[in-house]
Amino acid sequence: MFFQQIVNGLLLGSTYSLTALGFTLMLGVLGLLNFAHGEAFMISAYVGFTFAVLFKLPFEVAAIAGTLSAGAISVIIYYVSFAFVKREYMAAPILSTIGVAMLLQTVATRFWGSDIRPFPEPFGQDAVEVGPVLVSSVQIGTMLAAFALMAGFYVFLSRAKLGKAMRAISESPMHAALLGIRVEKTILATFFISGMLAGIAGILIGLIFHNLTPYMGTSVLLKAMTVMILGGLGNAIGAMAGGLIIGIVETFSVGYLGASWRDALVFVILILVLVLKPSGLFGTRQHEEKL
Amino acid sequence: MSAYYEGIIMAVGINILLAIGLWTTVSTGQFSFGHAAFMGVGAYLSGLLTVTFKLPLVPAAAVGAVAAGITGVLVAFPALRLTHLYLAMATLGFAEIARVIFMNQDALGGANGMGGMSGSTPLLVWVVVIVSLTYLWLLGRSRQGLAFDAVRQDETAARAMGMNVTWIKVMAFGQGALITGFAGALYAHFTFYIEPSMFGIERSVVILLFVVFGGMSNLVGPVLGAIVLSLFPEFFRFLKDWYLFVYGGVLVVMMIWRPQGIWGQRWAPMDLLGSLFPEVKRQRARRVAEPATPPEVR
Repeated sequence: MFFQQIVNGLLLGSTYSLTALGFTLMLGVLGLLNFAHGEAFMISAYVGFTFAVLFKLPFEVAAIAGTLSAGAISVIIYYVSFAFVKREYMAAPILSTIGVAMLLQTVATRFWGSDIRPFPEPFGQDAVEVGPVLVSSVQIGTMLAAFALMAGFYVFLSRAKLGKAMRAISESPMHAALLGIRVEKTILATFFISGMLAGIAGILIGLIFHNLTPYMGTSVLLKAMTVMILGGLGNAIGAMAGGLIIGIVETFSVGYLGASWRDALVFVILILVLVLKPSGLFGTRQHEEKL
Repeated sequence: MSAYYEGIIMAVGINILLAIGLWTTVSTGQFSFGHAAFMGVGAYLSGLLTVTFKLPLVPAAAVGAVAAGITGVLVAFPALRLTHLYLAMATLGFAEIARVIFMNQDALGGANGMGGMSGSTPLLVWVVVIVSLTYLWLLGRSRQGLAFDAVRQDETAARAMGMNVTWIKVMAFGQGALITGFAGALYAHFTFYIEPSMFGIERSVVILLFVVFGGMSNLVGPVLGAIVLSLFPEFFRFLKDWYLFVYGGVLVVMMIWRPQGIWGQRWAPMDLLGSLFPEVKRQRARRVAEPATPPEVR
């Protein structure tokens, strides 16, 4: 039971980590808080569902379509909520992303209905016993995919030219521009990549839990926010570790406290971290000063 | 007067109360994304008192409002260690915790909700609205109201002048929560039925939308915002389930076209940018101080 909970927690947590990575990237690197990020996650899962179930296309195609649509949604969010909104009013972009989230949620509700829709199960449900734990091959696959993505993303941020450009912009957009970095393009790329990470998380969570609702974006967003705070703002490692911690806490609270208290415990953690150690587990003072 | 118009008049009044309740808190520069929770405290407690303990509505609503105010003060103390964006996230988290607590109390009906409340009348609602507006108008001219302004405009300066900034912020939170709680009590006895999901994030966002749409620089803004946005679904019945879509669209368009709200001043004294990001505020202060600096490289 105990190890089973840990495995389930890691599974759930890895999707939180992926969503939080994009979230923390946009906030930590660009200073932009995107409350519509969860909706990219939700749209991706629904687009994947539509391609796989309604259009009867292979699952791989559906997954790619979902991920790309999340990236596209994220870019649209950048244009609608950040590019044309005056920077003098810093609450304006935040409120604008809340507006976009409402738009996307209503569209999804009207388009796909507010009922729970079943996500396809392309890989069957064969369970493997690993020691005391029972895991399906899908679960192992999604977990491996999530961890590979996180590792790849970390290497990307620290080594790749684009990743370095992102970090340079996080230091100072003006100096980055002076050094020849195309700031606008890099910001667009950041949004696209963040959206795709959320999109992959949406597909993965569809594979694990098979249930889609138009409201899952909001709940994932709140979790990603908690993960971001717990791990420290703008800290990629923190987002990954925080996601896994929150995932484990959530499955344990479902297992031992009852499902209805699950969300409360996560937010108690959020508030405790905010009050006791606002810089998060892995944060530094530098990131704290950004806000 | 038909029941339909009575309903609209009450809904508008309650929304005005919600909007000015949030505005009271925001007027010290603290953004709360969790005011629906205070509304929920007022709604549930007053409902419990009238249904189970057969209390008349007005004292029950007063008790609910005071309880919401106390909750506001209790939330404000830990939350005030936080600034800006962190405060927004903490209030959001607090509201979610409150919702889960409502959901897990059998005495409050749990997830099924609670019914049987009645008794809100247009007269009662509007008496409360007028009293609250008069109070806030007087507050704006009192020492305390001036202190709210001072804290919003420059917290450090206010502290240097010897003001008790923590106390002022806590008062703003408590009074805002009190008004919101009273609105919640009236709301519960207006809809006859409440459930935890009525006091979720969506509600907090809609209350925030009233204030943002109207403008925050003075009391007229939130009142106007609440009136316009609560009448909106009535005039556009054909939108049916799409009206949240329109709300979202209004928010997006407003932020591009007029981020200070329809009644706000162009350079609103409420410095949203600065209140959320002190670094930007400092930069802008520097820019104002040295107007001769060369233009920024983009």
